[in-house]
Amino acid sequence: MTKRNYLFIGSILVLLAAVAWHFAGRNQQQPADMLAVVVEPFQIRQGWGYKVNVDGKTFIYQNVVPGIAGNHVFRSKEDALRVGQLMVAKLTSHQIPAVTAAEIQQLHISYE
Amino acid sequence: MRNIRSYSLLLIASLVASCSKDSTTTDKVGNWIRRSEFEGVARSAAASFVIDNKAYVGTGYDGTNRLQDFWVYDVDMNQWTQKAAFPGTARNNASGFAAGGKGYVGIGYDGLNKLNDFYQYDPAANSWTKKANFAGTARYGAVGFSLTKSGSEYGFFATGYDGNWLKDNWRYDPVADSWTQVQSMNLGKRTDASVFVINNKAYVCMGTANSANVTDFASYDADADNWTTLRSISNISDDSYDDAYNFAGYAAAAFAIKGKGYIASGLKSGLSTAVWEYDPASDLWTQKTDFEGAGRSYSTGFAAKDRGFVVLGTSSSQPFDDMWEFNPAAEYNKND
Repeated sequence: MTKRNYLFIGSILVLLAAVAWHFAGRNQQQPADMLAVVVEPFQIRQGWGYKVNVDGKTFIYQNVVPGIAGNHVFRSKEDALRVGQLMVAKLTSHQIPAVTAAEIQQLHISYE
Repeated sequence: MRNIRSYSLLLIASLVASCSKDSTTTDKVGNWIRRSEFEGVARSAAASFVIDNKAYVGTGYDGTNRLQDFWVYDVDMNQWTQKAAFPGTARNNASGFAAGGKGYVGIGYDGLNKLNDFYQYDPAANSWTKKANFAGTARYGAVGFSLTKSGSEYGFFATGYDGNWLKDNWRYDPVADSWTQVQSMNLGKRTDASVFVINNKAYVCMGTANSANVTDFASYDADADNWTTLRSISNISDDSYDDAYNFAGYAAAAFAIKGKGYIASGLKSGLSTAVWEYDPASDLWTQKTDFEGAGRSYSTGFAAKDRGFVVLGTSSSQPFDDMWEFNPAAEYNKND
């Protein structure tokens, strides 16, 4: 076989693997003991907050910027999502989901 | 042939592109976790207070770290909201109470030092303010409660451990921002005791001292500034009323609803799930339906809207995140 054919077979294999992975992921049955942990931003007081839903139920309802003194809301949906994702990352890696003021600063989150 | 090859590469490229697009445009982002591994805001030895039927819970110990975060739990929605962080050092076995619509948390243990600092939480402003240091010795494992005296609400920290087991009692005046030593408990130095308030009297029971469970039980009247010794919580009398009393222990959750006090969980000979109800009218305890969660210690008990709750806590190795509502009307069933 030529180098070119190796390349071709290689790319076909990669394609098949990618397609298989894509569909396997899509059709995967949700195991009964797995909980979905999902962030959902919402609008509040001319800004944004977020919910962290666990297994379809709201577990954390964040209508203020967490860990910060005062009743602040996020300026943008994106910022609310980023902080929510940080909570999710902590929740799914066996840490307490609490966010600190230092983390809010590190993420350059702007709030009102 | 060349065309097929280019086409396949194009396919891969578009597939990769569509995958990455999926994850950036969605409003909801998430992850999965095994149910048994979901720990939520799990911790033990948290401080708490209740304002407007909402439980504020924070600080504590997660098995590795002492904590500074503070959360409010909405009992109707079964939801947590992270609030302003506690401004003192991270700590466990701090004490708290609510008075005059504000929350107070102080004392405790930071892993190295026993603490005496003390802070006020304003739920409307979501902010903390440092207040006068606790005037007793720096300590942890004290009970915190609030009582009305001459029409004004005061907070109290009593008992605890400062290197010795304690029975002193200190009153905090939120208006003057000052501490006054008041009448100590008559008996029973102790730490990790439980307290519930019924009809403006604080009932202090359980606890440990000198590696023994304390069985002395007393109530405190703020107006009279005196303690009334109640029946001991162990089987010491010749009468039959206390024959079943086997619940002396420490680090139990406590709350009062509808004129009765409840003690749940805690450490006895081992981790307990027992629930006992105290009736101040008869000065008698009755065993109720066992707590259905895992046996645990250093959990947080509170009452809101005439409903009793036990949240968080720890077994020897694992902090709990779950929350349980206790229904006092459920029949006690030994075989349940």
